[in-house]
Amino acid sequence: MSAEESDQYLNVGTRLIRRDAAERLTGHTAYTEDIRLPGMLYGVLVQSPVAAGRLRRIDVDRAAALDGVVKVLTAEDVTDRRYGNYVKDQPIFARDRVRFVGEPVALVAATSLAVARRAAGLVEVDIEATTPVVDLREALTSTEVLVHDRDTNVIEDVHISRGDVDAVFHTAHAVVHTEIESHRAHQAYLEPRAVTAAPAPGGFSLIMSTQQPFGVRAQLAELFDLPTGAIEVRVPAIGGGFGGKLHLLFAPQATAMTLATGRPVQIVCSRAEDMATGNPRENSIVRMSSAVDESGRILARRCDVVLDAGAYAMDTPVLTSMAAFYATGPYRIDTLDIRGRAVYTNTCPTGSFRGPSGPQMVYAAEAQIEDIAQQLGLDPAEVRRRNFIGEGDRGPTGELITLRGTTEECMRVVESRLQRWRQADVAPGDHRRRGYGLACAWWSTLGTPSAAAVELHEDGTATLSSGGTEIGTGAISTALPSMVAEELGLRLDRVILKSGGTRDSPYDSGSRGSRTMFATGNATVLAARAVAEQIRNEASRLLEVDPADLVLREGRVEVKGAPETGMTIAEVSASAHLHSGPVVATGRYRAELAPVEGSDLQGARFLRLGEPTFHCHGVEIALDEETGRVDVLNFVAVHDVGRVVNPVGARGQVEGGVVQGIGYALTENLRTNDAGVIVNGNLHDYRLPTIADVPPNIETVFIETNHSHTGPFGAKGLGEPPVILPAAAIGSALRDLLGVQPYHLPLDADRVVLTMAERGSRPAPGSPPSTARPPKPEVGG
Amino acid sequence: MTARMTLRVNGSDHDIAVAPDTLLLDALRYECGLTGAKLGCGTGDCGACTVTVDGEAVNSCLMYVLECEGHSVETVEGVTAGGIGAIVAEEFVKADAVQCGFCSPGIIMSTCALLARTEPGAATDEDIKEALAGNLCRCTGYLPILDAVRRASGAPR
Repeated sequence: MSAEESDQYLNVGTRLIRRDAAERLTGHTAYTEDIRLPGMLYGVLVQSPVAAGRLRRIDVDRAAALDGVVKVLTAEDVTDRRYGNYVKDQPIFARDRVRFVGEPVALVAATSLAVARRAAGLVEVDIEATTPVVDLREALTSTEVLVHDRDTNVIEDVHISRGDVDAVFHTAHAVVHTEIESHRAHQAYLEPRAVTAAPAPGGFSLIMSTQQPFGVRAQLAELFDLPTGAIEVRVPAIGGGFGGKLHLLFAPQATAMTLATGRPVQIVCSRAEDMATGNPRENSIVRMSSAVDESGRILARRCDVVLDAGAYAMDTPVLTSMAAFYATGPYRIDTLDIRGRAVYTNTCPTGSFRGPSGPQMVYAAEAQIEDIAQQLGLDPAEVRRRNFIGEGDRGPTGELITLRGTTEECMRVVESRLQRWRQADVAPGDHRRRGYGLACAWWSTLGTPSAAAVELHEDGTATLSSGGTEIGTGAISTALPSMVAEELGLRLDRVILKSGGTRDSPYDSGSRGSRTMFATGNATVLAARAVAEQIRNEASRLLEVDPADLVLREGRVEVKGAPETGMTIAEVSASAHLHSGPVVATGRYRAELAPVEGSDLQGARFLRLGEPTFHCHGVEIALDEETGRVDVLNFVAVHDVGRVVNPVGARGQVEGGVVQGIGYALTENLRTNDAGVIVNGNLHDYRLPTIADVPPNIETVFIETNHSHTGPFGAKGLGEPPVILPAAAIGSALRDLLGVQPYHLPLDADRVVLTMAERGSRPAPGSPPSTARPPKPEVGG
Repeated sequence: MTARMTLRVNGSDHDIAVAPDTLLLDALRYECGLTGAKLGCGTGDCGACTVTVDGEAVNSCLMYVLECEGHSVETVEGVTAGGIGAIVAEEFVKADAVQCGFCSPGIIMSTCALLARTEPGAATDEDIKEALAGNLCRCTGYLPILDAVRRASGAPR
């Protein structure tokens, strides 16, 4: 689908007001917990207190005897089928062994939440604790302490190779090594995970805060051996997700209880449960080496990424492929040897978080660029410029890049801002030192399947039925109806949206991978275009003109060049209903994947990334050298995501993503102790940015001259990219300030003080940079 | 162990049955049917449950409902029905200061409490940040919220 020739759209690209905003703001929008069904039971989980152990006995008698308790379920009572997105390794309740602190062992259902909680405390669980493996490096090499009954903790091993890396490394001008280590971060959506299961004829239904109702339905159908159509997943408003609500969450447990009792069952996580059992961004180790020539051109790269999967695989296997694919950064590197591994540990399972593997991969790739520049005595921006990937180049998996690369354009905007900030006066009395940094990245838009239906009614209003999930971005609630309005020549308020689950609309693969505007948008536009064609055909019959000479605009079907000749869309639609049939069509979309060439992929879960987007962020920071505190003073975010369909919503995605990225960089760190216990699993000790912490200004710039060839109206995805760059930009600013940047994330006060201490001195601004880091020994395995 | 009490919410009296440890948040949500205030953390850290009691913003997840007897509670459903609360909500819509919306009712309430104690146009950015520092938002990055509160503060009342 190509972008329209004309740039004159009535809806697309204009300031769209969120259509669901007022209802949310006034407290009238229902979220999962707000919906209480008649006869509903309250479910409370009994969770493992230890990270590893053998389950000897579970005694539920005292709990079951409590007045108001209806049922207590353990592994004995449910199927032993396992579930998981890629590796089916997770039981509904721990059976024989427990593998992380917080793992569900039993579920109590009672007529009140208070009784259910009390009863959960009365379930006696006898576990023989065994030695856990909590540390990622230890888990990688251990053959003694194994999380599952396998001979290694490594669950995923991906190789990408292209050309002869060893040969290039031997002859290159220089080889530069960078190693970074990253931490866990929690999605910390404001609405804790919640699900309500209820009996339904032949199956069951769910009300669930999920980003992916069709995926939940498919997995539960398999787990409970039911026809997919016998399960309905209804999605009310979602209070944020960021990847944390892609999985089954506690749907299997709630469903098992509903099937056992024949009654609705609601499970709502407490914040502590949510943070102990969610799927945070994984901690990781990234080792990267590049062979370069004198000019800083990267000739070859070797990279070894190790991701901590936690106790169950969830979607880490596919994230391992993503991490490997992103090891080049937005740079053309023709010779590659990339390895990605995921490793089980006895910790909370990790998984998707907005821009999975992005922040640490961008941090590593950009620190590597700066290390190269430092070692060669070059300007890092110049090194970037010499290596940017663009149209006609091949990406890491050998995929042809068919879009103009615009990272350099993005960087030019950032450089101009950095220059301006450097020249600005510092407030008198502010003795903090300033640092300026930037980071570049590319990302890709997921093109997974979607279908949508558009129906034009007799009165000329339309209904869009989408299985897409409105996660809060406005893409479903506002942008998609605007696309339908655009295609049918209707006012936005004439398009009614029907969405929110699996019942009323065809398949969509969920709110993830920055895909909604792009893939769900494409399906929507295809459906709307088919409807427009039906209308043109009917009007052609009525007006006796060629359908190709008709346009739909402002509620009318008009003859091109003779707008006075025409009819209202309502008249045409009513006529079609009588003469040719209802005006309705379905659009289906799945991004085409171009063939890859020249790379050898072993163990990868997919062959290539989707259509690329290009990005650069710049930052001015102030460092308090006494405390190590870093404040962000100015931020600029430049993105090429093709055409911007909704400028207001797009800016919201950038600002929100940047602040999440700053949180990841500076204050957020979900810490697990040696016993596998998360020590700051609450919103007091897990430090999210507050309104008092954000920079006074985040400038958002879109490069809009590079429309997608395949996205609706030329749009690509934006949800994830803003979150993946801020840490790298802040790292670059610290290097600007200290001469060296930390190689451990987060860049919290402790880390910054440590970095200053390692540096041994506090260099004056402008002093020569330190020598590059020496190579590190191999990371195990 | 339940007692009956009269809870005054949004100008109406609710005769409700409560236990000694019933939280204000739960009473509002499940006895009065006002689910605008949300449970985000239960520890007073996120502010999603913010309501006002006699005009003061409080975390309703930390307050027993029995403490509210004889006091006047306002929730987001009440304040946005008219007056300054409606202006605040409208400015939030215009500024695109809502994404997932789960934090929004609490933020509206903290804003209304701030505006109730400041003259029109008098709230500084520092005042706004102080008033809203206890309300976490994970989606917007706060800048449109700041913008909306500034505008609402300056609006004629």
